[in-house]
Amino acid sequence: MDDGDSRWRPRAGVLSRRVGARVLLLVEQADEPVLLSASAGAVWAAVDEPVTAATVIDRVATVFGATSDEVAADVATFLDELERLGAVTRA
Amino acid sequence: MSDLVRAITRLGLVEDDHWPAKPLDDTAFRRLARAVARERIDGLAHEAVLAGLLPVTDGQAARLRAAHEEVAAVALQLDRQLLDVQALLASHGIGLLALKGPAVAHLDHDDPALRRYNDIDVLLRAQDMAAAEVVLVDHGYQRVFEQLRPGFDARFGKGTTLTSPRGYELDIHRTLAFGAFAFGIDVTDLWDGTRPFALGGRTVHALGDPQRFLHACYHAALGDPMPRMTTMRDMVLSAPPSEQQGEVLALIDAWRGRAVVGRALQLLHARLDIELAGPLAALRHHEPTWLERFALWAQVSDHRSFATQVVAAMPFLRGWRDRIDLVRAALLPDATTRRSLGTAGRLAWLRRGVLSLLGGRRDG
Repeated sequence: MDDGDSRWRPRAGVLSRRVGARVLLLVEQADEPVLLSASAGAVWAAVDEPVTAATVIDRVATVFGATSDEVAADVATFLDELERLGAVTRA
Repeated sequence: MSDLVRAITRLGLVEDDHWPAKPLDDTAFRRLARAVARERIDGLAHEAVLAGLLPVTDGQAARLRAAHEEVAAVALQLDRQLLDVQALLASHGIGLLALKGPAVAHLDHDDPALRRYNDIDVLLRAQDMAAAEVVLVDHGYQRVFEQLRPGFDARFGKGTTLTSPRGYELDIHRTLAFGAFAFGIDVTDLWDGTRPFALGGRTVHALGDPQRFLHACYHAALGDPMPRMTTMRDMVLSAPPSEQQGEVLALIDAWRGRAVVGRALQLLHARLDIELAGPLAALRHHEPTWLERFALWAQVSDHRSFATQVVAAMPFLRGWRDRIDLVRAALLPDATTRRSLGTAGRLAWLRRGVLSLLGGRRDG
């Protein structure tokens, strides 16, 4: 659960490629890359430096032309998923 | 078809290309897909579809997307291999520079996914070649071919190829090419003004801008007789702006490389119909000397072979000792090397070399 003050950042050694709207991600512990959806890929792209969840939400909302409220729940889900994959971490 | 392959390769470089008005039929599309894979422009083809330039059916779009995903997945594995090799060699005090694929993808493309690569190439200092090979072999890498004689790689070779435990290819280079024109390159120049790029949160160094452009030229002119489109595109993307071409021209002259760059620019014009701006453009009209013509023939004609390249290199070597040692390595390689190249006996090796010089047989 994000407390709002946490800063998300990519883990060292994570490699990525954009393929169209989607993103291929290879994390350090994995043998094979995973293919993210366009939405999850946008969340990954937004975490290119240490950022709060609120900033990620704003960035993703801008990409999709939506309001922050509309994307907030999905962004939180994708951040948790990226954390579980080992692609991002928070401090 | 060739016009369409050219248009795909020129994506983002030239604005006014002609694209088909409607999707290709399935037969023509299959030919296009084969050409795209051969020329290693999968990402560009997919991007042309996404940009609305290349009309395709849903099935054709899915095929191009799948191909792009596949080559992008390989690129990620290769990037990881590059990071692993860099860390491994650094732990033994050996530095490297990334060459070609990853370097061009991350430094010269806005989107690295548009540059396909199938192996990793790194540059090492000549004095580190042997130690690096020992370290890599200790960690599961296997050398594809033995060197002709002890010390050949560090002194005369372009480099060597190893395969990683996961089956990916790793080329460790001492210099940018083999043969006559390679002997003009001062390898210490390759380590000047290197360019860093970020990869997975780490920093990797590549050749500097002038050297990266010249590497693309040497690869285009001295690699395959008909270089891939992606190599041609590398030349354009890494070409320095007019006002910065003085440094490149100085290196070309120091490396005695006018014929090489001239041929590369001719190929660029013939294959992509692109002419670079600035003083470099004049080199397309460089008239090679007869020695340069012979060296180019030895390297890229249908009769090219190791033997022809050794003969053509003689005038370009500095000093008789180098000439004698190169000829000795070519004529009298180690027995293990002959066996690994499929010619066990010494006489059979010599016969093979003579035949290739006479144009009767390629010796690879």
